[in-house]
Amino acid sequence: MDDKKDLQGHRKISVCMEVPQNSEQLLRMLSSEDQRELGFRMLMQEYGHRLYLYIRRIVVDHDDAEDALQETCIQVYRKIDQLQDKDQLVPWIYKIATRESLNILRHHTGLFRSIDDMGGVLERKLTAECSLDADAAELLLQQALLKLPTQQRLIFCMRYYDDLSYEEIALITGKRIGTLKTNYSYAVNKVKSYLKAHEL
Amino acid sequence: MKEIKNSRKSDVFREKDDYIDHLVDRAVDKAIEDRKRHLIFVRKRKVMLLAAATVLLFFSLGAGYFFRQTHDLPQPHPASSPSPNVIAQASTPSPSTDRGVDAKGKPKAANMRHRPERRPDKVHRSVPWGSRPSARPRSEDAFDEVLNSIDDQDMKYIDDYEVEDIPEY
Repeated sequence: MDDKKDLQGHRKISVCMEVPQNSEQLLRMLSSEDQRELGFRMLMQEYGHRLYLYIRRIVVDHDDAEDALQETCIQVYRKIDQLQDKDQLVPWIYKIATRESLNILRHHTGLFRSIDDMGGVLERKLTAECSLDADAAELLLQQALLKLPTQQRLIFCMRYYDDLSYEEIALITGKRIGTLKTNYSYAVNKVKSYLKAHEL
Repeated sequence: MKEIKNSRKSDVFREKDDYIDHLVDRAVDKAIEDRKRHLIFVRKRKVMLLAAATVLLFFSLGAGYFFRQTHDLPQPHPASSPSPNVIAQASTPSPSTDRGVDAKGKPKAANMRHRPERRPDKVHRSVPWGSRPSARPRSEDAFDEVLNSIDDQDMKYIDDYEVEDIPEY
């Protein structure tokens, strides 16, 4: 057993855990009352990093991303036994993460403002929080994404960064596949035209 | 765009992978603690609701007893309720209503010849219009009518009659 202590001095068992190759074992652990905690740790070990980056691309701010990730973990662990179709575990987690991220963005908007109007604010946060050695092309792509409407931005992030299928995105967003394809196409065209305008 | 995706080594954000893993672990720990607290809260709430329901039940029973005592209402007695024999007798169907089954096992239809005759509308009303209970003569009025109906001759006979003349039984 390769136990390691984290910054708070707690023993972490996630280091010695191996993520099960088949998701059936993970689902069985999540269904069982005794092994749920271990299964949840395995689940978040596998998807936690992706989930954080997905949330971070939506809310941009690090503190907001941490809050949204925290709330997502709480909701997932509290309601994991209410999940009917275990095959939809990943879309279900992404759905919760999307909802929590949008809730945090809504919290920052004014009374009569939409999340879509927050592009300028999020862009300033991105410029302030980006790494000094960040890739210029990547930074420009992020800025182009912040120009998009929220729905197109969400679909682009899920499709481009997280490689989710249209069926999975449809489960997450509740939209039809045709609508998703149209939105993604619009998003790609807008991003390409933005990158061309900035001579990349 | 594909070139950006393929050449992506580190994300645009400054947080390193180790730090993100630590964040995830911390979020997982907090979620597990939160679920434990949530379960305890749910159990406490269940116990509180049960206790409140019990207190309310006893309070309503006590209030009912106190109401009976203050208003001199008779206490419910077990003898006042019908006996099990009476209930069983009432619940068994009477032989007149049991029509039985025919040869095919279907329940027999009601005999149409013995159907009660249909009376014209409003015939069943035994109380005539305008004779509501409030309009009926009271007992005092009836007594006065009886007195008035006695002839004066009879009254005279009664006046002449002596108490001593009443035979003993």
